[in-house]
Parts: sequence; structure tokens; C-alpha cells
Amino acid sequence: MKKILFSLGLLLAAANPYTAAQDANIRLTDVSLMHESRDTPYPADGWVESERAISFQWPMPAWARGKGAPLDGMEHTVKKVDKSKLKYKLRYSTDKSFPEGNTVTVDRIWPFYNPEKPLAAGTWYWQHAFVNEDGKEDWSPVYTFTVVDNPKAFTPPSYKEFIAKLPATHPRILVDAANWDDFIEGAKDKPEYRWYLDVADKALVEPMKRVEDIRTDKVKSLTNQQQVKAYLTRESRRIIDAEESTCEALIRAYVLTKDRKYADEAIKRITTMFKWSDNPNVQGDFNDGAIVSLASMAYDSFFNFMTDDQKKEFLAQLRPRIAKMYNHYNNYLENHIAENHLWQMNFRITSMAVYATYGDLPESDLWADYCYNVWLCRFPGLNRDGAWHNGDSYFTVNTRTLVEMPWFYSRVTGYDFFSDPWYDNNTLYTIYHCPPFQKSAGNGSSHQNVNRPNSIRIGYLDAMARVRNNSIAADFVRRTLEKEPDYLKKAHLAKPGDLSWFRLQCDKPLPTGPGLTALMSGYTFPESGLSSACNNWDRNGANSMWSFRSSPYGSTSHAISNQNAFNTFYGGRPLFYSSGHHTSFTDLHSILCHRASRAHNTILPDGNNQRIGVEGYGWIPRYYNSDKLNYVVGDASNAYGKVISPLWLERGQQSDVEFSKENGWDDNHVKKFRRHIVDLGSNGWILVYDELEADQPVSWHYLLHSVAGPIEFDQQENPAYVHLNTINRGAQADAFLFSSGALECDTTDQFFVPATNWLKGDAKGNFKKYPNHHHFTGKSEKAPVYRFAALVNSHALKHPSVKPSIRRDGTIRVPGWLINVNLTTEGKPSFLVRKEGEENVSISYEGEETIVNENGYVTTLTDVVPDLEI
Amino acid sequence: MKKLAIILLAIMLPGLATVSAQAPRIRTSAPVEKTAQKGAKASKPSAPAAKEAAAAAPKGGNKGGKKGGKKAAKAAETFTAPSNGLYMALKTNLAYDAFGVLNLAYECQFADHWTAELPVIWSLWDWKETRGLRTVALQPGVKYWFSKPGNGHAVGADFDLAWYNARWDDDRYQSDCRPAMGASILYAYTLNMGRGWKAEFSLGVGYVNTRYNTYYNITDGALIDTRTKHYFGPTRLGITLAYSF
Repeated sequence: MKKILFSLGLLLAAANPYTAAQDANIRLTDVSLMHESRDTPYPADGWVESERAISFQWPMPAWARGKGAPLDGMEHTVKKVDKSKLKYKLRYSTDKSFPEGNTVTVDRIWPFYNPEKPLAAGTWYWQHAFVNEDGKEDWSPVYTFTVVDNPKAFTPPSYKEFIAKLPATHPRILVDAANWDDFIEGAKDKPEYRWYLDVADKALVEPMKRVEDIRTDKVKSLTNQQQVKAYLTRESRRIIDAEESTCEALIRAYVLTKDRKYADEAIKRITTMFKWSDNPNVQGDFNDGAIVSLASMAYDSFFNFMTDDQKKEFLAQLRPRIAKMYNHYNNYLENHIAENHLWQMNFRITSMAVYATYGDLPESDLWADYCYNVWLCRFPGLNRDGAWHNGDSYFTVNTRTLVEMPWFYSRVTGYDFFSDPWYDNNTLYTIYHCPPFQKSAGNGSSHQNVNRPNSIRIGYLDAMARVRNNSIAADFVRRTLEKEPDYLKKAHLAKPGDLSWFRLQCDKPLPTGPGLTALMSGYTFPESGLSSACNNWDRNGANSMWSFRSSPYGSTSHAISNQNAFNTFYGGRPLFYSSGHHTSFTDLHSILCHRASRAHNTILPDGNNQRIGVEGYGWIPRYYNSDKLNYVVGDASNAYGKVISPLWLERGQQSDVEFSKENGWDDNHVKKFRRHIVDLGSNGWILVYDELEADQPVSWHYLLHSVAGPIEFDQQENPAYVHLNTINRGAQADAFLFSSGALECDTTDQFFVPATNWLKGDAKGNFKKYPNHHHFTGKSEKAPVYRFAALVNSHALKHPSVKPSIRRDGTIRVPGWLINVNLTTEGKPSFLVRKEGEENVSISYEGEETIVNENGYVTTLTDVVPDLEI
Repeated sequence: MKKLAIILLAIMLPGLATVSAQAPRIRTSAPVEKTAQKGAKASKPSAPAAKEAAAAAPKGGNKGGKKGGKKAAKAAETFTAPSNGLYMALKTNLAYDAFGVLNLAYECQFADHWTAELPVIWSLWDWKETRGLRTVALQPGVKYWFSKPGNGHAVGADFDLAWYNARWDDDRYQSDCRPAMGASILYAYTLNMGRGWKAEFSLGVGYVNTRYNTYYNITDGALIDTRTKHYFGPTRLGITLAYSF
């Protein structure tokens, strides 16, 4: 009874909103929150798991942590790791002394293990060991975690169950032989059926591509080996991808009709492609993937009539390639923060090839075990919040993997792999970060090219709507197809994103129910460090939107260096928005003017960029999203300094890019950079309040960019602020920038390094010229403490913005809201935002907690470090 | 001790249930226990109750519309007063009716060449989800008839008063704390069609002053700004069907 009363007392104390907050602000000091190769055990010590089955994962010895090729085509520079020496042990128990009889101990050759049955609810203990060549076991500390009983938790079947159910017959990948005729019958009435046949019929009468047609004419004008590799990779992919699409259509046309003419043509073309690898101009790991994809798909689909010689030839082509892939992946991919190329396409291709040939190659079991269990432990999302840390452009290249893998596993095992909670979260990311007909939120390289949700993205939402019975995603799809009924066809045979085959297989209807307007205006993904809000889900032409990033992933892979940067939009058009062009991964302009922080709407101390690599990180300590208010805080206090990432230093060296003082990387003096964004009730206005501190006086450079119209500024209009505005067709953004002191303002339409397109030409060899963008810089005087407050209004051009009025007591008024901010360098940073005439709607901050009052409900926000892995 | 625990539970559980039921829809980094109702005065309506009240009550300009509806009904009753031999007519402007803006006017002679008129105009519905005009307007005025009231040419003047709530694609416009006000001069020509029926064609021009709010044209759309407009131009276009007594 005493225990009950004590618990009740605790509960009462916790329920009291006015309990004094302890340590409202958390100052992280980690060099990085995440690691290129796993550095932390999972489940971490103290972890509480309620959503999914436990999967044990642990770091590899430092010497074995391969970082892969720094860049495409530079595989020869990678240090070889003898993976045969990698042996591990794992033990787990409900008793921390690991007694015999109550302890599971397993030997592993990979740094992960998925228990065959879900662990029972309760407290567990575990530890892992590296076993050296002499058999000596180097054990980790003992970690503890708790499994919470949840009947709805995602607990997919074990490898043993999966492989036992994998059909022994062919075909088994594109269709299950047992249901083949039914599938054909059901597919005939769907438009995708005709799409495949049209392409295949055309292929029957047209010659195939020639590897000799790979363009090499620009090679002589390129200045370094990396550029040559990147150029040849792109040009060879142009030929190989085209032929891959054609062959895919032929194979699928056969599966749809059982007409041998398609199969014979496919075999003829694929056997020709086997020889292409000998051509020196064929570059890049995707090309191996193309051969493996086609050969395995053909092998499985045509197995029943292929001659023994043909089967032998196909297996002979597949086996060394799959072996090469497996040897590359194991003890690398599973512990990599996010291996893009493998993850987006090649891992799926390898997995499907392994299952297609399962039983016909000696290594089948080893490879199948690896592929299935890696999917269970790391994929699909690599984090839980569902956002894609690599941003909006590179998200869509993962589409087939995200749908086809779980669809296949679900079909074979009968367990719904889409019930992984990640998928519902990811659907929200897909919606919030590129709303209907709107420009992408502006994260990740190449985001400039995402002018609206493309057909692959709509196809993905269509799939999520069906498999997750998600009526909001269905509404998104319907709104798009209402305007462009054939929109999905644009993605047909798109290598990474065509879901036509999925739609032929899936008979689940597009659900009805609540649509986009049922969404809250804003949403935050704290693990990925993303937040955004829209004020009009119903009519995109009148939608005012903002997005924000402060991410533990830092700037690695395709994630750009934009900690504490925001973007603004109206009517789907970008206004104050990230600049620069993604010419190639490590092109000089791309690094200095697209990846680097100078390209984004953030702040540079003395003009210096944030670090490239996981070390240049931010995070989101607080957020609040509701129907009426949106608030997010980003902390980029650890983002600045010289580039120290070994991977990126190597990439720079191989690409002739110097992370030097001249290029904007220098010793760090920033102690604190917190950016608060308060969405003023979805009226198009946001308050952006910055707290800045350094260990010595620095000049704080406030950056705003535009990719459309120029940025104009006026310092005479009101001495209290600088008024900036930019126009993009019918949309306009006005920013009223208040600061602790006078700013030295300037604009330019020139990049730090000009954007030269040397890589992305069309089939005729024409290279589109990249336009200049517009950049505003407001430089403060040198000061160790500084504060900015920007009121940004994103609105229709036809409604010129009201200018903020400033009352005698310093209160700033914008339509419907009263704002007080501490802009002085004295005292605590603070703001109070109140809704005019509604005493029960306000957000206040005085350097400690943030207090949000909505309709009389008070929420006290203090810092919370998101759950991160790897 | 057991009783005390039960009492505590009895106090807490409804309270917690109330919090979860009444809290606004929130997704936040703060733990659940960090959100609580401020003050929790018993007399204060709870959040959902307030929301329901807001949903049940007409929003913004709808209030004007409802009030206007009652006034119009009252006015319509007064128009049934019996004829005393002077020119009197009940009229409706078909040009407005065609757009769903209903109207009824009562016109009455008060001197040899003079009539007074009180048109009441109302529209309480939208044309479609994104477009609509909700208004209640009055245009009391006088006319001078060159021949006799209800026949041929006339000129006049009127006073304009309108409460409105108009939505058009992206925006919604609503008269602020006071109605739009203005004054006009007008020209009218009336044709006799027999059996008391007449057709009147009229055009009025004048000045209107209005202070209005612009909102995003969505449910509970936020305020964009408040502006004052001085309008000079046409204020009335009439293709009117009248029945004289």
C-alpha cells in the first residue's frame, strides 16, 4: 500500500505543470551525435522498447570499420579489410550474471543478431564480444534494456520461417508460380498491363543500345580523376539504364502474357549485356546492379523453359557479382550510417537475386540469411521518426526498395511488413516535406530540382495509402491525379521508383476517409531534425509554408550543411530558400555553394561555414505542433569549426576541394546558436529568434537567399529593422530583421564559386546552364553575444505585407499578434508572443523553459535529446 | 490507508481523463505530464466545449447574415401594409437574384413626384466551397419621377449600408466592426407591363467607405490584414420586377 501511495504521490507531482524545471537547457558536447560507422550499441543501455522486436547491433573493431569508397569510382583507394577475421559473440539474459540455462549465447560473423522469437516483456541484459584470431573474447560492458508488452509491436518472422516459406518453384520473385494465372487475369484490366506491353512490343522491333555509344567526348576537358569517373559513370548509366528498362519491360511482359517472344528477346539482349562489363567506359556500381537485376529476374521468370546451358550461363554471370556485393556489404553496410547506393537500389537487387537463385548457388543460405536479417535490423528507415535525412530529392530513389522488399517479404511469410511503424511516420514525412503541387522543403542535395511531388513520390503515396489504409495519403494522390490523370505513368520504368508492378500485384483499394485537411498544420521529426508547417492543406495556391532543419546527421551523404536554416514558401513557390546547384557530389561549386552553410538561410560567425560531416550537427531540443500553433527550437552550437571528418577530408582531396580558411572553414568560436521559430497561428508570419554567443567577439552574418527574384532591402524605412523582400511570380516574402545593433547589409547575385555544369548533359551532349541565385548578408559588429529577431511574412503578391508597428513600450505588432523580444545583448534571451485579444494563446521564453499556452492548456517545454542510433 | 488511496484515485482519474479529453491536439517534445489546464476554473468552458460552441455559432460574417435574416423577415412583414391610393410597390432586383443575392424592396409615394424606397438585400449562402457572398445590405433612398411615380424616368439618391462576408478563391473579405457605408445618386426608367407589373432599369453611382478584414479562405483562416477602402463607382445595377398596388 505504501508503494501505491508513493507512486500516486509521484504521479501527482509529475502532473503538476508548475513544478520547477531542472536543467531546462541541455548543452551537448559530443563531437558528433551519430557516426559514419556504428559507434554505439543497440539497444543502448537503458533502452525501453515497445514498438518492435529487439535486434542486437554493436560496433565493429576500429580497424575493421571500412568507410567504403569515398566517392564513386574511387573504390581502388579503399583499405581492404580481411572480413574472415571478424568473429563476434553475443549473449543476453534476464539475469545480469548470465547464468547457464537462462542465457542465450550466439556466435556471429556479422555485428548484429535478430532473436528468432520476440523477447518477453521485462528487463534484459546483454553484451557482445569481438573474438580475435587466438580465440580471445573482448567483451563489452553489460547493457540493460526493457521490453514493454505490446501485442501490436512489429515482430516479423525469423529468417528460418521466411526461408522455409520461400517457394521452391519458379517464378517466385515477380510473381508466385502458384498464383501466376490468377495474377495475369487480375492484371489485364489495369492500365499498367498495357504500359509494359507497349514498351515490350516496341523493343521487339527496335535495335538495342550499344555500349560503344557511351559519350566520352568531354573527358578531355575535365581536370581531375574524380570528374572523369563521375562523368563516365553518368554517361555509361545513360546507355545501360535505358537498356535495363527495355529488358525489364520484356521480362515483365512475358510474366504478364507467358508469350515466349518477349522472353527470347530479353535473353538475347541480356546475354549481350553480359559482355559490356569489359568495356573500359562502363563505370559505377549501379551497372553491376543492372546486370544482376536483369539476369536474376530473367533466370527466375524464364526458369521453366531455359536450357541447362542458359541457366549455367546466367548463374555463372550472377555468382561472382553477388559474391562481390555480399563481400562488400557484410560487416560494412549494416553498421554504416546510411550507405546510399547500396541502400537505395543495390541491396534490394542483391536480395532479390539471392532469393531468385536460392538453392542453385552454394552460398545461397549465407547470402539469404544476411540479406533478410539486415533488412530486419536496419531497414527500411535507419531511424524511427520516418523522415529521410538525405532530403527530398534522394528520398525518391529509394522508392522501389521501400515498397518491393516489404511487399515480397509479406507475400512469402504472410506477415505484414508494412506494419513497421516507420511506414506511417514516413508517409507523414512524404506529405509534410513536399505537399501537393509544392516545392520541396529544401533539404538534401538536388532539392532544387524537386519543384513538386514527382510521379515517383505520388506512386509511393499511392502504395502507402493502399497498404496502410491511409486516407490522407489517398487524398494527396487523388488531388494530383484529378489534375493529371496519367501522372503515375511518368514514372513507368523509372529505375529507382517505378511502382507499376506493385500496382499490378496489389488489389487493395485507395481508401476514403479524412484527407489532408485533417492534418495538423505542422509536424516535427526530431531524430532527423526536420520541422515544417503549412497553413492551407486544401488549396495549395494559397499555402504559406516554412521548413527548418537542425539535424544530428550533420552534413554527410546527401545531407547539406544547413543547421538552423529555414526556408519559406507561398503557393508552393520558394521565397527565402536555399541556393546553389548540385552539379556532382563533390564538385567545387556543389561543396562551396550548395552543401556549405553559406548557401542556406542560417548564420555564419565571421562568415565561416558549419562543418561538413557528421561533426557539423544540430539538433531539435524542443518542439510543439498543434492545430493552432507551431514552435520549434534548433541548436547548432556544435555545428561550426574546421572540417575534421576523415571521410570528407579525403573526398575533398580526391576532388580538389580545400576545406580551408579561404573557403570558409576556420577554428570555432561559437558557444551557442539557438534558433526559435514561432509560427504565428498559421497566418503566414513566423518569428525567427536567434540566441548567439561566442568565446570572443565575432561578426554574425545573417544570411537569406532566393533562387528566383532578387532580394531587396531597405534600412531607411524604420530604424528598428531592415526590411527585405523577394518575389517569385505571384508569391512574395517580406522579412523584417531586428538585431542587437546596426547591420552592414549587402546583396549579390554571384556565387562564391560559379556554377558550371560539366556533368549533366542530355543525350545530345548539351549541358544546361545553371542560373545564378540571390544572396543577402547582414553583418553585425563584432560581439560575443548577439540576438536577431526576424518577422517573416510569406504571402500572395497581391496582398502586400503589413509592416510591423512598434509601440512605445517596444511591443511589436503584426496582424493579430503582439510580440516582445529581448534584442539587447544584456540579460537573458527572451520573447513573448501573444495573440491579440486572446489571453489564452501565447508562447513565452526567458532563457529557460518555453511556456506554450493554448486555449488555457499550458505546456512547459524543456530540452529533450531525441533517441538516436548508430 | 486503503480508503485514502481509493479517494486519491477517485480524485485523480476523472481529472486525468478530463485533461486527456479536453486538451488541444498537440504533438510536442514535452512529456505528457508537462501539459495541464491552467487555473482550471470550474466556470470556464472546457476546450472541447469552447470548440463546439465556436463550431455551433456562426463564424465571422455569418453573425451578420443571421441578424440580417431576422431583420429582413421583419421588414417583409411590414411590407404587407394595405394600400391607401398612393403608388406603392413591392420589388425584387432580378440582376441580384440571378446570383443568389435575394432582395425585396418596398417603395411608397409620399409626394406628387416623390417616392421613398427601402430595398433589403441578403445572401446567406456560398456559391461553392471557395466562392460566395454573404451579405445583408440596406439601400434606403428617394426618387423624383419626371412624370408620375412608377412610370418613366426618375432620378434619386440613396444611402448604402452593408455587412458582408465574401470569399473568393484564396481570400475571404469581411466587413470590420462597422458596415460598409456610402451614398449614391441614381437614374431609373420604369416600363409598365400591365396588371400592376412593372420593369424598372436603374443605375446608381456613388461613394462607399468600408473597413474590412482579409482572411485566408479556409476554415478558421487566419487574419491577413485590415484595410480601409474608399470606393467611387457603380453602387447599384437594377433590372427589377415590381408589382404595384
